Amino acid sequence: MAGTMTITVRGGRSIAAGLVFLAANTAVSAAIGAAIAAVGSLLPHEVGLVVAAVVCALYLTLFIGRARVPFIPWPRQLPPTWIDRSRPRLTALRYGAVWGLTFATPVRAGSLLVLAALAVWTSSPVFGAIVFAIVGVVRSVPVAAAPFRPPDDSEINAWRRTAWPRRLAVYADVSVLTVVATFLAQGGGGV
Amino acid sequence: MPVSIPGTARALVRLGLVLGIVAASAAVPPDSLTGAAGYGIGVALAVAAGLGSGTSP
Repeated sequence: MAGTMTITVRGGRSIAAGLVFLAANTAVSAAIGAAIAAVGSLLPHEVGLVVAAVVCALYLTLFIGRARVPFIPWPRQLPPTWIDRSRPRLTALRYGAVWGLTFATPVRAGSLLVLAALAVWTSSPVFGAIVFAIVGVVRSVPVAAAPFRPPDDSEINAWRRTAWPRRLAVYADVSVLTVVATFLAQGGGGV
Repeated sequence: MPVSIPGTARALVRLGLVLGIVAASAAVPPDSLTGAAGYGIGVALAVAAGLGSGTSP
């Protein structure tokens, strides 16, 4: 979807559409984080920590053994009928809002699941909103910055087609999950 | 001529990477997730989650 969205924004080189996408994604993502944390107050205190520990163990085991992390291919991409090339800002708003739901697109990163688990554990809507807003910003900045890139950015495009972007994302994911696992094993989750 | 590294060796390298991060993390005194460390870990998780889920399937 990022590629589709980038093309859409690039259609008019619309800076406004990129900013709308960034704002919608971040706002909705923050709301989702706050909602997850609020739901956490209804659950037993340890649920979040247990889920975080299980996800860390699963991802790290699969990374070491198979050099890959689980990929949940659900749901599919957003409908292409949502693309209205004559109204890039509306398109950006639609895609940004749905992408901001965070879990409405395929989940590749264990960090996202652990982040939700920790938001449940803290039961702090402020914590949930802040960290999920960061997720939204990081996810949407490449799309929002697309109008500022040269139209013929062949070197970056060629690099993006390699396995390196995905590989680096996996290593970042695994590194942070390892830190969290160590933290939990040390009893860092204790209050 | 490219050198082929056996799968087992690569798995050991990945294990070494994970254990290295564990050792580095363990050197930091544990703190509560509700404190500054919690926010630090939360931000790191958020960045990794954004990077990991930001590309098109």
